[in-house]
Amino acid sequence: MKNWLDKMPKRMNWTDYFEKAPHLWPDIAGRWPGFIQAAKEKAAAETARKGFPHARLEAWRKTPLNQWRTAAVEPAGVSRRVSDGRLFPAATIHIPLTNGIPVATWHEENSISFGRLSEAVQQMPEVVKQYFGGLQRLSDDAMTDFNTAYFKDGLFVYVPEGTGKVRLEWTNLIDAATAHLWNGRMLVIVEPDNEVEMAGTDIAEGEAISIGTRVAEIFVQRASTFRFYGWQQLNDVSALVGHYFMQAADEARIDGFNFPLNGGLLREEVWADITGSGARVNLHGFYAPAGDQQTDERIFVAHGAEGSFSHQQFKGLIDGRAKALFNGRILVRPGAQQTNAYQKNDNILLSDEARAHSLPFLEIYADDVSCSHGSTTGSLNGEALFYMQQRGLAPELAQRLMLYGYADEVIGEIPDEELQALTRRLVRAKIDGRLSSETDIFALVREEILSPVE
Amino acid sequence: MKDKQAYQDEILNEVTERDYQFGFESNIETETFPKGLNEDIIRRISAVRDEPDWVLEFRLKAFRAWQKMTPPTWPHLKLPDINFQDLIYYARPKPRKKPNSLDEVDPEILDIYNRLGIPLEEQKALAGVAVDAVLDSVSVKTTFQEELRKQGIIFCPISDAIRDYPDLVRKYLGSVVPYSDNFYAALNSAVFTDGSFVFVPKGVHSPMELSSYFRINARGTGQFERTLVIVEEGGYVSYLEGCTAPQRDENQLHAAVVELIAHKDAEIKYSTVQNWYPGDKEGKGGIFNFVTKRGICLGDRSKISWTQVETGSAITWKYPSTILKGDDSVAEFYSVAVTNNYQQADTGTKMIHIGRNTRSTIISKGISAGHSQNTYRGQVHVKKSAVGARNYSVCDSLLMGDKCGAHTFPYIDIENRHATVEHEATTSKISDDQLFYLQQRGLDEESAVNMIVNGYAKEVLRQLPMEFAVEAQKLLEISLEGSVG
Repeated sequence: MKNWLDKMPKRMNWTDYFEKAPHLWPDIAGRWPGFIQAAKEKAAAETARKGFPHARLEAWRKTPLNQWRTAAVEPAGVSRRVSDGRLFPAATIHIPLTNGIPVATWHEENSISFGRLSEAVQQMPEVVKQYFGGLQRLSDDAMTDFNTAYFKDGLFVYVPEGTGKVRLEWTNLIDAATAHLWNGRMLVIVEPDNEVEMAGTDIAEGEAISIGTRVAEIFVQRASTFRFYGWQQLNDVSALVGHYFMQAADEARIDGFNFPLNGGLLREEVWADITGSGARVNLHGFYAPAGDQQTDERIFVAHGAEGSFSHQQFKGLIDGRAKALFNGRILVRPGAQQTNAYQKNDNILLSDEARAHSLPFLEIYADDVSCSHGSTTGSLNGEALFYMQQRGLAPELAQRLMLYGYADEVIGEIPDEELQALTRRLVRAKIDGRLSSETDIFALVREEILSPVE
Repeated sequence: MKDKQAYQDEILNEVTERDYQFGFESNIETETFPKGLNEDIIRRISAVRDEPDWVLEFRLKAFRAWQKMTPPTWPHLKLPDINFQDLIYYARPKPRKKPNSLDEVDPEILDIYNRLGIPLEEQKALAGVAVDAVLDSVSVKTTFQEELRKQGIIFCPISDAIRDYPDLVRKYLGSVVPYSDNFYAALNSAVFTDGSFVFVPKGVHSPMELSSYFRINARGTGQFERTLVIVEEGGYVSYLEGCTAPQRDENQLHAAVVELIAHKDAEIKYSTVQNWYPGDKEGKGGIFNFVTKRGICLGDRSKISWTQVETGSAITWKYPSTILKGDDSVAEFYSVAVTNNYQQADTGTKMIHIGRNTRSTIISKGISAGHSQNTYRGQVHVKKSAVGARNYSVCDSLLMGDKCGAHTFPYIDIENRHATVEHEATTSKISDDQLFYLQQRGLDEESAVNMIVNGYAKEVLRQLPMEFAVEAQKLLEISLEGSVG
């Protein structure tokens, strides 16, 4: 199959990709079935029309992309390199990705199907057609159009009704040996009555700039549970802008945990669209940017059915010249009565140059609801620190203990004990300054399992 | 000048000698400019008011900036297209011999005023309240001025201040809200016609509440007040602003600018009760209220406190803000915003912490009913220099009915690690348990709701001066009438 991206100039600025999208589009033709072609064509036009996100846009005001805007990057090709690193020991399915694309070919295992999206359109065209692009329209961010126009391939996972418990993990190896642009895509369909856990790690290899976008569409159908865990470990000149669209049908449950570890910009935008009554969505995150890193957590939960529940819990620790943004949004659509929604965001600043932005939004169009949020920003509790020092702990240790406890409020919510312990190690290493962008997190986890520092 | 004084006295008599006909379009002939806005109109506004050149320059600079600006699109408001060239930017009342009879007043409106119990006579009678009645664009007369003068306090229409205290006005006008601050502030800076000027000298504690009653009059004109309050070191003033408006079909634009300056150890308390015509039950008519209010705690240990009860206007766009520049300065924002029928409000505050150990408190209570949309939007910005800054914000929203919306958009931007910022918000309806309990004690549903709403708003209402608090409480009840059941 001819790779259309090969025809493009070897290197371009990220902004050029935006402006040239419609001109490059004819090169994309011929690869995908009509409905995806049409979506790509439309997205290419939208990408050019909207242009590269500028600082006057509400969604990008606090996220300067200057560092990447003019970075000359070439489209990531197909890499043979694979990471066998794993963080989810209980997973029975492991899917290595490079630059967002599954390395292995189509797979069917215990009625579950997974593989490349380009294979899925051959294997189960009706399913792809029914779901592809169905959630993306929730956002009008140009980045999602950009991704749609440019994605080469992606991950497809299909769990048919009544499969039961499924645990899978993907490890995405990002090629940062030279400056690259990659665009990952995911389509996950969880049919009724399943319990799916998915862990995903993004790791960059190399010291060059990598710019990545991801659009994931995840359908969680009636009475199914979908639980996901994310870790991102990039170098400090790389950026990842991810959009995760999820739909929760009747009595469905979504639990999410995100732990941005390292990266120049780690931006996650989650849209949980609750369309079924009695659905529950719990989203958690802990971020600890340091140096010149920035993390963005943009969490949008839309309640569109009666009697649904959502909880957002995001905590951050900001050091160096780093910046963290939390923009939580609860939307209660008209008629979504008996909604119960809560969001909580806490930030601790550890240095004089650190900055935190907290934007906990509520948008409520139904009256019989209970919605609330809380946000705190500050430094560590001086009295508690004093108390611990007064009990004989060195100041540094006292501070560390407090930060551990602070992070544990999020980590402790992870139901899987093994995952909990492992995440705790990663986060504590980051708090201690032992987890930089050069750290091999898989090795770190292995080492620490052998010699825990409790 | 003698003529002007006589003219002002005549108008004052007219206004004060009769029942205060709130909601009644006072049939005072107006000298009105043609519709539209251009440099000529601005020159005419300035000329008719005998302004010095620097004011005209300020206006023209603002106008030129405004021409390049567009109205903000970020508010959670459905704004009609306002043709700014289809408005009259200047109207001045002319004296007329006899007021018309009460029969011409919309009885519904009269009824509301009677129930509010706020005729001007009564206001005058309330001890210690000085009234600066603003009829349309020219301030008519300031009472109690002599007494204030003894203390060295200046309280007069801003036009008089420009004439009598040009250095003071020139020093502070536009110092907190620059002429190019935003679309509506630029418009105001170009065409402002009146508003109040308050100056409290060093060490003086104003012996009375200063009160200004604003009214909108004359069909098709907008009002563009400019208020400037300056309190020097150690001084104190409490300023009250209240508004009523006649019922009418035409939408009216209102774009005011208020600037507060608090020097070292000074305190300014600024209270507003706003009940302009909100439009009818179908959402027709009503005032568009685009206000820029900002104060600066310039000196150490200064304090600015905003209290607002917003029940009126079809559209409210208003964020009374404080820049906490002086070390240890304090700012407060207390707000109750009620929207009913088809009203839309996007209101809140900004607290900009610059000085060390600055403290701010935000208490916002929103109540939405009918088909209305009620938004709290507020920013807490702790700058890098604001070591030890503290902010505490509570934003609660109450929903009455399933056709309305309540929204909370806080922006918390922290650049100093020695700051402590806490924000919490809740949105819910009146709890069935509370209603049941009160009804079970013998209250009908409406009284029960009123009692709960008053309890809900009390934290804010009690910040108001006494006479305002009473009025405001009644206002809440009237504003929410018909939204129960």
